[in-house]
Amino acid sequence: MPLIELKKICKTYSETKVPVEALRDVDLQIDKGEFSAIVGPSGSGKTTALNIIGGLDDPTSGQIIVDGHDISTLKKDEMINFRLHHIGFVFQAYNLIPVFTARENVEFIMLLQKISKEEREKRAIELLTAVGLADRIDSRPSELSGGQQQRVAVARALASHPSFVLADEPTANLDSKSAISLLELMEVLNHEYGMTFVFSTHDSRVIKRAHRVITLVDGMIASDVANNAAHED
Amino acid sequence: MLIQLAWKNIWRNKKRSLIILSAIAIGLTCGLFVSAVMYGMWDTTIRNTIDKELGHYQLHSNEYKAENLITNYIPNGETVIDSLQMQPAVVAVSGRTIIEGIAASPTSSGGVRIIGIDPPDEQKVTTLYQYMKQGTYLDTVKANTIIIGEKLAEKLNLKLNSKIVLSFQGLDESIVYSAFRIQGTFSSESSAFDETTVFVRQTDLFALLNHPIIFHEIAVRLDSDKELTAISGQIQQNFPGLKVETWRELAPELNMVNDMMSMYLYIFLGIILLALLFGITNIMLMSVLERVREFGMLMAVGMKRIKVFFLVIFEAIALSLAGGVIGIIFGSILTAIFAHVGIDLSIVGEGLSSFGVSSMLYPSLPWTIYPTLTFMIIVTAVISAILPARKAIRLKPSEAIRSF
Amino acid sequence: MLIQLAWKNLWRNKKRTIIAASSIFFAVVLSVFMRSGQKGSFDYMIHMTVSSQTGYIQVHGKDFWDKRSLDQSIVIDSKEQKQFREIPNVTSVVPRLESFSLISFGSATKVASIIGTEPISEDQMTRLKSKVIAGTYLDNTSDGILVAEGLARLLKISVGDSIVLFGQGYQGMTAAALLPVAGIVKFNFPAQNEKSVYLNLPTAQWLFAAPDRITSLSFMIGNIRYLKPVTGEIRSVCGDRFEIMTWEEMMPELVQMIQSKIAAASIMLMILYLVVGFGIFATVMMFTNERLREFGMLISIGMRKIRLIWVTFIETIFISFIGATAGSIVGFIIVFYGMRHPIHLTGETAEMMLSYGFEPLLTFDITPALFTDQVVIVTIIALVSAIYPLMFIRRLKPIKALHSL
Repeated sequence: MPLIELKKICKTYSETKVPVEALRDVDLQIDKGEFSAIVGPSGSGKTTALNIIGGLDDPTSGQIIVDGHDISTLKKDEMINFRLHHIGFVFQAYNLIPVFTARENVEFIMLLQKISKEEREKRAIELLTAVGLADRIDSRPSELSGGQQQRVAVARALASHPSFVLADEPTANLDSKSAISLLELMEVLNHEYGMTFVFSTHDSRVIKRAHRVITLVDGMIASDVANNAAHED
Repeated sequence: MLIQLAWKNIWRNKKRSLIILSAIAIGLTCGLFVSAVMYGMWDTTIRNTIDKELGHYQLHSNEYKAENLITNYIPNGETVIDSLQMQPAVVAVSGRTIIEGIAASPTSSGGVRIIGIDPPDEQKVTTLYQYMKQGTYLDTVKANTIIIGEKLAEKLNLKLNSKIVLSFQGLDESIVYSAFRIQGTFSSESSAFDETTVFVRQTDLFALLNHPIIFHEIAVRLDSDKELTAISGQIQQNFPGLKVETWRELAPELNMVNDMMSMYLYIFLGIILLALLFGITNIMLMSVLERVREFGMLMAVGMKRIKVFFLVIFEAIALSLAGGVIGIIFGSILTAIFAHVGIDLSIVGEGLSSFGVSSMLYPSLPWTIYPTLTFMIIVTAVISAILPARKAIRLKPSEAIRSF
Repeated sequence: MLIQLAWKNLWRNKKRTIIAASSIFFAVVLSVFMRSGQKGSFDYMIHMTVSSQTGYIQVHGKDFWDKRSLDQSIVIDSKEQKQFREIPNVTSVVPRLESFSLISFGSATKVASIIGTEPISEDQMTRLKSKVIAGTYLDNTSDGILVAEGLARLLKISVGDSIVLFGQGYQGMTAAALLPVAGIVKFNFPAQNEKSVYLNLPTAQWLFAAPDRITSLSFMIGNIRYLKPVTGEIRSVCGDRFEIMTWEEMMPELVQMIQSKIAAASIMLMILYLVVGFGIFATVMMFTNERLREFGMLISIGMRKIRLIWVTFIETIFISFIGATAGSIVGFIIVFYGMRHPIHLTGETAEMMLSYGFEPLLTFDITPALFTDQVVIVTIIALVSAIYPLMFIRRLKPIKALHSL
């Protein structure tokens, strides 16, 4: 059974004078262990698609099934809870709570899940070490570089044992070196631990490395190809 | 943990938080101090009245309460006094004879209340003897001595050792005249009292009246104010033929002012908090608007809306309490300093003395103010945070974190 | 055009501007309400107190106020009295001969205040006639007296009884008489109610052996603001022969009490404004900080700093004055309504007022000072708050501003 399934998803924004059809009749399936990117120019609907997969937005029509749950029926607080336990997020920016250290940011998620103190502390250190920031555990976001902040975001996203990680333009604000470094990290996590990653991006560096590239144009899937070159790396 | 986050969040914008904190602290410091001054003023007045005149409670015959005629004295006064002195918590008892009459000098005369006392007894119950301006308190040896208020002495144009003539109706309906020598003058800080009250020895009075000593009023001093109602209730049961009244009943205006004072205090502080409410609301509102993306992220990542709501509320509470605690501490210190030193009001003028308000002011605060004020601060914080908190959770995560 | 810009800027964040303006609104309404309520109460209290005792102004013998004896009584002939009555804004002039004596009925004797007065003008001032609860009022034809209800009860006196008055008269003469009781009067003030006896002036003058003499001439005026002019006129009629005292000199305690209450209220209002001022300052400060980029942009494209400072200054003034204006209007409305329909008080406050003989009403009055004060304070708040944007803009470096996040 696919991890994420979109069935005939339509999304229309009617707040503006001229309604915008962001997604039209989209069918998509993503399986466990994938390292896939949803790409397309601005206005293609990729952000909308990611939002819907992440439960941040409701489709106008269609079904979305994540981890066996039909999330289109969930109410606001139930949705929040679902995201907490099933989905890890890495945003382009503003991922972290500025007043908390890296460690506290990672622990925060586990706190929301009501995990015990010992367990939290242990896991936070593990994860931050895994992303290569063992020596920056007690730094605040303002003391970290862009790349380092995004790594913390990844650690945070993984902390809740999610079913998959949703990354919305995670490299957009980074210079090449940091971007590649980050992507390599995520690849390792995908390869070693089997964590599913779904990106929304128009960064070529990401697209090159994605194992599957789903292209959206004007709200519809234009192509869906496996990137064998990346697979082999 | 939410609380930790709330506390850290406040300090994101140091300048802003400090300003509102200062506002709260200064507002409450001033508010508390001014309240303490007002409260202290009335508290002192009440203490003074009890100490100088009333005592903790008094007994009269029921008839005397209806008509204060000389003939309505307390039957078996001596026995009553003796039995009262044996009661627990009683420090002293004084029996008084009260007659209305006229005091005259060569140049003038005035209506007065003549109070016959036993000086040593009276001194244990009231503190008037500490307020002698000239001369001394009533002598126990010399006959026909009198002490009068300074105001009366001025009015009648009399000095120490002058003669003053008292005339009043005796128990047998005849008019009695006698001359007394002024032993001393007192100033009780209530000029009405000073102008109309004179004290003589009971022994002298009854020598003139040719009658054994009788009492119209028995005043009792207790060691503390605490069990007042209970004790006076008990006494009333022991003496059904007499009317027992506490100072609260004898001077209901004072009692009423006492109660109202507390209320005014809270209204005063409440108004200050209300003014602060606007400031706190605005600060919180702007703080929330600045963090739109962050709130969106929190809700996206899994923080339930109610938690976000409480986060904002806790931030407001933390901010307000921080300022509030500082304000309370400084206000209390200021009050304590002046309570020790006292504030000299005689600059304000002598008019206050006609109200029985003393010219040395000792600010004080009822202890109940601390918990109540803290509670009020928290309530203010919560109310001011409601609008901003609602704004924070109304955000749609998808809009809040929209990519560039 | 700068003004337009300032105005529009304010409304970019409606809620915030409204909240800030509301804080000033609140303070202004409260100020106006409290101050005019106080003024109304004080004027009322003064009026009630003086009308029951001394009048607004009193003419009496030179040492009378200290000595209070008949020996300081004076003579004012009818021509002069007429002159006094004709002074503009004087509503009543009451001649009195006051002393005290023992009064006795049956087996009981008490000390009483004896007030000899002219019945008609006395009633004009103190409304004594309306307080008669039994029998008839004083008149100049009979020598019947009025006894206060408390006193009558104590001595068991009723209308028609004759009572003995006994005391000291003018220049040491003995005063003694047996007089019939024409009526009983009731006062709210217990002190008055248990001690007063009223005679018509001729009878009192006869009793105290003081023909044509009075101890005081009391004046009531139409409104307290005529106090000074009328006092001046009185002085020009009688010159230096007598002492003229205003209610402020006769009742300094009342003056003190009023002043201390005003002082207390002023302090409270000052603290209130202080707190509100802080809030406005903080609001303006945050608003300024938010617009760092915008300012940077404006300056780079050519707007002179001083103009920008002006705009922010006008914005600050606007915030303060919206609140103050709205507050003044609402305050005005409340006070005007209150002036026509005094609020009836209830509860303990009402009881206390009744015990002093006052009706439990909350009355209002206005003075121009009330509003000018608000304007001054609000302007100060605005000025102080405007300092922050001023310093901020002066120190602004456009490049840094543009590149900030």
